Amino acid sequence: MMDAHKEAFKEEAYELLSDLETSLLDLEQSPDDMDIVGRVFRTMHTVKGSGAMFGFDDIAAFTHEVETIYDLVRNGKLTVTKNLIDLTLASGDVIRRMLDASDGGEPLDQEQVENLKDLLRAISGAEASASGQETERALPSVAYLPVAKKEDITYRIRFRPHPSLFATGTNPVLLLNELRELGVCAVVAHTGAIPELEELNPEECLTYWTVILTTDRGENAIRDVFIFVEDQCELSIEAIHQVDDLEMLGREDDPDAPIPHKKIGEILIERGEVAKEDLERVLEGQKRVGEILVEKGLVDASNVEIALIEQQQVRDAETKHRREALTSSIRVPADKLDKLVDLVGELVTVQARLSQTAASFNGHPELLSVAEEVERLTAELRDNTMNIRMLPIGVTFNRFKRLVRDLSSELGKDVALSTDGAETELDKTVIERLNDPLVHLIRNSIDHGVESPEVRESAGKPRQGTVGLLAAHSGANVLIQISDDGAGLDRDAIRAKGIERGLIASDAELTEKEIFSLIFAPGFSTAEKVSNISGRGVGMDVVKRSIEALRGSIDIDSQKGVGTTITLRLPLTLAIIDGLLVKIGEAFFVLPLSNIEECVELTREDVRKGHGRQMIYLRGEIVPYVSLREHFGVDGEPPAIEQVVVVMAENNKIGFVVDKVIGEHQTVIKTLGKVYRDAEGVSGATILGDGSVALILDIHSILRGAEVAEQPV
Amino acid sequence: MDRMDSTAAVVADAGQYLTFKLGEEVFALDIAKVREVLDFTTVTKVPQTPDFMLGVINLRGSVVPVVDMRLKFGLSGMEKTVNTCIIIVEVEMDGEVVVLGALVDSVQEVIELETTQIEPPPRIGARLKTKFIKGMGKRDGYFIIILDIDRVFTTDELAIVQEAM
Amino acid sequence: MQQKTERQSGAKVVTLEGDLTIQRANELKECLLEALHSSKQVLVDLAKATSVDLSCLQILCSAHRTALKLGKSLALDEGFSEGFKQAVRDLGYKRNRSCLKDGEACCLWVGGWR
Repeated sequence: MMDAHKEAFKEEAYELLSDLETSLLDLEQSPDDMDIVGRVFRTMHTVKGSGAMFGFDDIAAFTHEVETIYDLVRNGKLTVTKNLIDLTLASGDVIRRMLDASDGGEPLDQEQVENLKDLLRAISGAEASASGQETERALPSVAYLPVAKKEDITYRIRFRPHPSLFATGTNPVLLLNELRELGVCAVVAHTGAIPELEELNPEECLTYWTVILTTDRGENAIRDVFIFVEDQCELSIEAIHQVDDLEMLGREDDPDAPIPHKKIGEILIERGEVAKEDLERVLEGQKRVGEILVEKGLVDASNVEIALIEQQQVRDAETKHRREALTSSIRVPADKLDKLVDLVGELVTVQARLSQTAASFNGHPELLSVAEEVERLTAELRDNTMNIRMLPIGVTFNRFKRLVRDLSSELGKDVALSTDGAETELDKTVIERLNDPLVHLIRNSIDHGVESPEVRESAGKPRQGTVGLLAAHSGANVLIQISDDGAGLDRDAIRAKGIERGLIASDAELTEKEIFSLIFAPGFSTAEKVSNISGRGVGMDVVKRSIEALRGSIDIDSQKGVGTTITLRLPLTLAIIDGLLVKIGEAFFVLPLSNIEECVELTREDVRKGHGRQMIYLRGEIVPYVSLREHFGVDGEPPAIEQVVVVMAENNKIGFVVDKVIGEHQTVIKTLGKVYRDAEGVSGATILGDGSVALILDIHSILRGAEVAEQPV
Repeated sequence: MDRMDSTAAVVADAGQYLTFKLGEEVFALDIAKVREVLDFTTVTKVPQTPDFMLGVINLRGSVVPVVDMRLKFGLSGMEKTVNTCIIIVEVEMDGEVVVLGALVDSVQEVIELETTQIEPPPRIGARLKTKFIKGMGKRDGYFIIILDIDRVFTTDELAIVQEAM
Repeated sequence: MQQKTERQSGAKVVTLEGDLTIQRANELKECLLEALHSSKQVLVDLAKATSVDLSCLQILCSAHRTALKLGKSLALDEGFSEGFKQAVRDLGYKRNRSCLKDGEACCLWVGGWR
């Protein structure tokens, strides 16, 4: 059980650390923004508190140092400097490594940790020796994630009407009910001023009220309620608690005290209902504070009543807040989702069979309508399930801010990262597997693309370069663009390199696109000197393969002196594919629809006209083709008229010859498993309506295979 | 490392075995490895893979590879008959459990073998690689080859790129 | 407003009907005062009270206090009307514990008021 909590803590901590990074980078932009300072402080406070609670003492102790500094910043005793940001970023890394280490990762260099601690203490002015006791101070504290939402504030409202209130025709019930409409509200009437019957003037208002109201509408909304009785009453409105309010969670004197709510005694003192000395006196006894105070005649019982209500309501507000934070998102292990996707996949397959079967029972309207209904539900269920796996790509974008910052300072460049479309959603797996290629592309942009400030200046560009990350939906695909306003690709240099590497003939006439696509060739690198950031020549071909493995494509566009834009086109999800079902011999195959341009017929006459070269003429354009029948070594004779599926690959049109095109087919992708992992030309399988298996073709892999086969060795 | 190549001290345990036939030869599989037995069904061949890798089948929504045991063991291929079966087994491959189908001529029966009925595998003379054999079962005067299915179905043994294409 | 003495217990039952608002506040005060002077036990029946306002609750509260002071008892009969219950809730008279001047057990306002 504890382990599960620990895991949850770790997961949360990783998340908090990435939030921290974002906050710090924001803070660097606007060092005076106290909201951001508060955010950093809260993050550290939470990591420390829950770290200590779950036994991560090293993390708690270390985080404490950072928290201390930001507490000082928060109180205006320190200012934010670049040095501080650097140190805090480094601290974030250390904490992350501590988390890794607890998972059996590499143990940390303790000396390094101590050094960093000393640096932090030098800033905070704390003594650089008192390390041993820090853990002790890091007591458990309340930890919850800040939620961006209008804050609920709990107010204590005291409303004491003048005795003449009734004379003006005012009914206090109406006022109280108006307050109730503002939020969670508890009303307690004080009856202490009511005399005995003989002395009572029954037409006077002798009751006064304390109202505890938790609302997100603000104090003015409360004042508005009393606007007409303003001069007939004493009114005080006091904010007593704010969810997420750190003054409550960690007050200056003891930042670590576990205080989700105040004690009754505290509330009474705060309200001036009882003197502090009196409270201390009665606290020597052991009964409940409220009872004792009443008994000793030190406080009116209705005041205790209110203090109790207040305590309860603040507690409730906290609970509600936490519960909301919980219900607004649920953490589910990824494998449970995968299982769900699998099941939905099976359902889709079975449903297809049902529809087929229903259609074959001619004129059975009832069966047909049931099948249609199941089809509709299945499609909805499938879409919903896929949707669960969607995450905004912004998570990844944030990580790159740090990367850009570190790289540009390392390379002596001044680079800003601009992002757009962070909310664009993509399948979780796609996002995860996109990370490395993106890192590589961004590195390239900064290393090879953006020039040094001096060079930029002399070229009449602003000193600061920009790397842009853009994500956007485009049909069933997501486009991701990595652009820079740097030097652009050097056509001649690439060409020369291509010839040198034997990738192209020295007299080859190539279009710009063809030249640019050379940089994706294995082992190609134009950087004259190898820096430790990129230019090791393992780059772009790997990037390209990873993108293709995601069934995506990569496209490059560049203008010398202006910049380079790389466009990735990716499917929304890996679990489902829009494909074209084709037949070769007796076997069915699926070609991913995203690459397909068109389908044309291939007659024996066309084949003959090609004179042994596998080419067709398509509206004047020569399109080479690969016969899949031949390529796969399928037995038997091809039909008289075959079909060519024309696809776009590497910016070229290429045809794949099949026996017959059956039609479009949306399908759930099944992995072929370990045994067929290395199978060339096949990326997965899918189950057809009749229960048989069709293979999903990987056109890039087929092309690579075909090219190898053609080249004379 | 290879326990079969050392002294033949370790042999198959006593227990239940599923027997099947390839040609005239009777083989046995530890029943614990067998998940189910299917009738022959349509197998989708994955192009450019060795012949013994028959292809994949749909097993209740999962795609499961099927190995032609005749071809794997170097016997000649045979026409499918009504008795042709696919034995679905679970093997451990590089630490993960993999579900595979084994195409056999026919499934015989589940038998109980006592320790006394099991002999160590022959060092020589068997047509199969010795390491595939866990032991020889004796029964009614004929021998049953007890397979070590984890060694038959390994990443190396099933490597699909072993032949130059 | 009727007053009736119960034969068995000797308690005086005060039945309050209709609107119990400020317009009848003086009348109510006199009625309860009279009941308290004429009996050791007063039971207030509010089953037929319709509209109840703050003045009524203040008078009942005051009457209760007076009864305690005189060493008598004043209690509310259980079968409250909805109107009465609502007033107790809306005006925040509902209590979980007795106020200081009363003994723990007999505060008029301790209870559920649902």
